[in-house]
Amino acid sequence: MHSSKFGNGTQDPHARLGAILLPPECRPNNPQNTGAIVTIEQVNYAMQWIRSLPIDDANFTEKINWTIDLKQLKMTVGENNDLDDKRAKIVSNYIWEHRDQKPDYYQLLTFLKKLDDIARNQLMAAEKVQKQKKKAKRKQAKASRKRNRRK
Amino acid sequence: MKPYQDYIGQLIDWGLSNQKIMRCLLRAAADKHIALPVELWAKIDRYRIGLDLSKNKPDTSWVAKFNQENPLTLFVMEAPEIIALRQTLKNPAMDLRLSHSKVRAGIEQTGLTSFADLLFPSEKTDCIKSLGIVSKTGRWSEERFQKIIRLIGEAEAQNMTPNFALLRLWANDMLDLSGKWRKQVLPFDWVLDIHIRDPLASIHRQQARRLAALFLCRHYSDKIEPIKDTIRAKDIRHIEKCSQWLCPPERSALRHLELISATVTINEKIDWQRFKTIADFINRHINKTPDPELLSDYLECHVNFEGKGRYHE
Repeated sequence: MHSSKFGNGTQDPHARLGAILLPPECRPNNPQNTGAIVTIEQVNYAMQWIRSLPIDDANFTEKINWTIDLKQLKMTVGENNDLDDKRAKIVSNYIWEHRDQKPDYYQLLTFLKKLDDIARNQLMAAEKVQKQKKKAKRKQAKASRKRNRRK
Repeated sequence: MKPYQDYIGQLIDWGLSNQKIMRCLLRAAADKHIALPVELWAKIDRYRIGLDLSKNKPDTSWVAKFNQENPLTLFVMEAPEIIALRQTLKNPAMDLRLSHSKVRAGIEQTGLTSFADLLFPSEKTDCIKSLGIVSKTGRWSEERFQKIIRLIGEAEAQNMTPNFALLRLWANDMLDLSGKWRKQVLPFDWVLDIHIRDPLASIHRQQARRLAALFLCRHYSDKIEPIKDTIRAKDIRHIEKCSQWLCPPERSALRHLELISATVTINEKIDWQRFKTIADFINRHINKTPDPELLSDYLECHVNFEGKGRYHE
């Protein structure tokens, strides 16, 4: 995770995640890239945001905790824990927009939960509109059938 | 929206498994029936993820560890002193047959003196049962325990000093923390106890009951309807209004009744006829701004029953 693979453009999910979590000024293929070199402190900083355990915790490096953290943040999806690049980018942007703050996993989780709630509500509203449209269509069809029968 | 602590307590009382409790909590939180703090939600969600990850995998030790844990340690995030209090109260040594003093001593041993004062000011069995922590059959209620701990915390957060009488009314959904009555009919003695630290002598209780009945007798007749075990919330509000003619409004009306009866009976008996006159006068002017001076003018015969003639002499 902390290796020098960051940003080398490979398809390795760890390397991809590493590249996404870089500060915008260091991210490859990013218009905001100023050519700055990423420091180990920046890497550790980003890592602490996405970990529920403090960096000095004995279980910090335990794989199951790591997997669950990523799953909980919905940065990985599916049975194979595939990286969701879009979600990871949202997380990275949030982290670096709050770079003056202390890393806080629960703050990030609250932000993501709110986003999910908004998305869920939008989806439900869209479904409702679809249903109403279908209902109106059915009503219209019924009315036209009635008219045709009268003729 | 139901407080999440009460809901968790309810699920534990129903005897659900950890997995079922987890699913109920997550569903209730998603449907906005309860609001879980993010740390607790994260902990419960981790359990769900752990279960999902362990499906079809040989090593399930991580989930087994979770399942072995007690639902109280899994889902209820509480301070060590609350855990100690529950253990003390649930301890078989705390059997209901134990004397009140022994129970208090047991709680004080755990360093929870404030809880001992709050939960057991008088006879232990009555206290613990009227709070509902233990049912009449002796069954522990985690829901009620959670509710009481939550109420104490909320009251302290609002800089209120909870006492047993208040806690009893809050816990039984008769009063809310803002002071609004939530039930139409309330036990008179419970309401009377709100501002009383020491147990009240039964004679003072009886007198307070009679004084309250006089205030509630609004038809100027000699037939007074006695107050029985309960009092209506609107009658409490009426007594409070009446007592503003006798004492500063920040004091409890019923407490004032107890004070009147306690004070007057030290040297002499209450002059019930005189008090009836006072009550009648107050009831006549109940819709006006409380004016204790007008009342004293009336008692000194400077004004008539209608409150007129004040400046004639």
